[in-house]
Amino acid sequence: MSEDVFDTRELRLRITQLEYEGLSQSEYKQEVQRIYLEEKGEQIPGDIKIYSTSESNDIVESTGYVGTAIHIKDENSGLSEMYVVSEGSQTAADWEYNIKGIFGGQGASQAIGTEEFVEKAKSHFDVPDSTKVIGYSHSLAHNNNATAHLLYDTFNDIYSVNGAPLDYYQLYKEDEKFKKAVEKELSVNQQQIFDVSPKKLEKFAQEYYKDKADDIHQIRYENDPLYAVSGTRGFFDLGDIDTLQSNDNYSGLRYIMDQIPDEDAKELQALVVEFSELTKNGDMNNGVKGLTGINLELIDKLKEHKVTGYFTNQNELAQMVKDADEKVPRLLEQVKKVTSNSDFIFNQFVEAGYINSSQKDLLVSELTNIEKDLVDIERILSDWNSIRNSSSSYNQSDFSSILGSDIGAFLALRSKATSIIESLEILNRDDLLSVLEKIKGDHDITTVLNMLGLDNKSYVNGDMLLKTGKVIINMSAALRMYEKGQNILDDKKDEIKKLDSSVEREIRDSYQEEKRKIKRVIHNIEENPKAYSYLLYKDPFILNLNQEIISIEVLEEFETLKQENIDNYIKQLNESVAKARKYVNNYRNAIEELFKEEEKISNMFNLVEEEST
Amino acid sequence: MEKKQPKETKQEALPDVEAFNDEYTRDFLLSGEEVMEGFYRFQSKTGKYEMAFPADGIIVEQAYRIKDSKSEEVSIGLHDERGFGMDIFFFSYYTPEDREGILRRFKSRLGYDGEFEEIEKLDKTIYFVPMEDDELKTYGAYIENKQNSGGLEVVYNIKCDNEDEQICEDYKEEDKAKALKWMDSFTFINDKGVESDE
Repeated sequence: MSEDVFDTRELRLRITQLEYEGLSQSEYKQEVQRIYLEEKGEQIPGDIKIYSTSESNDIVESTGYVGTAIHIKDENSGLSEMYVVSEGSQTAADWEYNIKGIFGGQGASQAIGTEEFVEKAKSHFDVPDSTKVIGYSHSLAHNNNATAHLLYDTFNDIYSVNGAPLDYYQLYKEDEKFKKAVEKELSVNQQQIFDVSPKKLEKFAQEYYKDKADDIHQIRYENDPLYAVSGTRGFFDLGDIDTLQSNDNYSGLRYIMDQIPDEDAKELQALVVEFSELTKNGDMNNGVKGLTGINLELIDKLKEHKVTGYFTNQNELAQMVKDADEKVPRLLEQVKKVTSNSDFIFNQFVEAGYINSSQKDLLVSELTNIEKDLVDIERILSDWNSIRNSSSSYNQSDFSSILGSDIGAFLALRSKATSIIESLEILNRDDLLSVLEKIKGDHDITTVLNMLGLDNKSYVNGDMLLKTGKVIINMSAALRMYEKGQNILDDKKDEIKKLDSSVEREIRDSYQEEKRKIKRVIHNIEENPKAYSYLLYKDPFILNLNQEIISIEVLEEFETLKQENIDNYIKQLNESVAKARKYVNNYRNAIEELFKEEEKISNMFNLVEEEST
Repeated sequence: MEKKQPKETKQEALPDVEAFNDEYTRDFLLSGEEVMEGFYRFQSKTGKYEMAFPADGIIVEQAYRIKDSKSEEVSIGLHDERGFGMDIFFFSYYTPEDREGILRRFKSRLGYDGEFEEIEKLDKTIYFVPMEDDELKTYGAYIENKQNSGGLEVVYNIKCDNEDEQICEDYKEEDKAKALKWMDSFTFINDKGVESDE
């Protein structure tokens, strides 16, 4: 089979990135054309049509799958290719799926959604069966695309970047053929499979699916945080993987995570992600409420109004106590796992260059404080439950003790929750946040694009930068400016033409019209002098009735139209367009001169110019 | 509230079987009364369907997934003599119009080439697939709701590792009947009121 239209890593990665840009279908199409033009220096060789999951809501709502299909078709050459870009994790729901799902075999629904969407897109574009279907994905979406491919043979090829790996527990649940093979080989059922050694299952899965391995191609940055946390059981790699080495001072995030015991690493990651989702809008109270169940706003209401507050908010208070009772012990367990190893865990980060030792000390001491507060909260909850339980019913005498213990307990909870927030605020420092930003950034597609080791190309915000000598040009911006510049100048020229013609119409034409009108009147007067005899009687001194007018001769003189000013003005306008066009062209020439060895560059300018006309 | 009953107030009265002894599984079961021999009433956490749950089955917690009331995945490990396991995938948006695609995908997942056996019931249609050639027999069914949207892809795996092939062969009819009976136990809950209970 021939090469795909998108046949370079840069093209694939840039197209994959589009899925995150929130584009309309027409914008999507334009962006695909632009990226192809920038990378190849020529027009994309076919018509493009776009179809996205937003047109089939059922899939998104029920399976959570989000993606876009691009169909490239050319009748003459017989070209027909369909690209399906699946969207990686982005929303809070996706993260939840990441943590709860992917670290223990994720659900089947997104893989089913992937296959279903590809089928829908095929029939939407009405593509022939011979059409190649190529899947693109980043992050979680790789697991979707690859799982769908193993289950349903969805794609001809899959290209992914920083992807979440396949998971054999998940495949065991969904792929009945695989299940049969596992059972034959290892004699285990649904539950016993978790007792089989992960190494054994990994090897078995890789062997079982090896025929599909040729279709799966990945690029992975070694510091990708998703890769770092993918050492947990269940995951396995299939297909070729192009691993990009880190060239900065940070190294081996995956190594750190592999050092941390499985369970602790998961807890730490789950905690960080859950908390950062809950406090996305900067609301710490919300973070504490989400993690511990303690609702500070509600307690404050109680503090202000005491008894009435107590009665009117009875349901909410009961709910809060129930939530806290459920959440705190679990959270405490998670935090304890981290704190009991915190020296070791954070030392790994220090050694890898992510944080320094004083940052480490701060993290350890504040986490210890948080742990203490949580222990106190757990104790308050249990003391208080025992008071409530011993007062068997709400009879008159017990009631006041319940009320008292309730209010006392709420206020104690409040002070502990506030103390947790204080610790969190201490940790909420720019230097620590920038470490998190750095780690997060290492998951991004743009980071990978810039790690590809391309001679003279780099990327920023979806733009392509070209380097020659010491000069770096934002080529995307240059092309945009050239295209927009030409467009604006064309528009301006049109406007000037319009102005010129309306001057013609409104001033010159009406001058001539007025002149004609006057001439017509003069002609009338000269032809019919008698008709003007009444003028003689108007003069009181002319009393002789025998007098008459026999001829009138009008001596006319028309002033010429003073239009020099207008002509001049229009001339000036035309000159300004020519001058601006010269600037735009000079700019283009200068860039072409910088890259004179590359014919492609001047071709690009020609093509955007053609497109704009 | 009704759901909590089996584990909280009638603890002693609950049958001493694996399904009820496992805390995670117990939470899905509505009552200790058998609905058919060796099966108890299971209600989906989506509130959209019920089924008969095997006494010696345990829901595999690691494999359980739910997305609101839209979809649910339940894996059951079986501990009886020849039992193996069951898998249930529920999707609320499946409709008869999508049936062709649903059945095609289901076949692909099962690794099955043949036709489905269509069994009409009052409230549902069962598209049944018996795959009995392997040591691990697979009975699959797509169960379509007749009254509303919603469909279930269910699989019942039964293992026969008896060395005497004739014995396994003899079990065939019995196993198929057992699988069909289980599949027929699924009922969709079309009443919207169920959701608001939560």
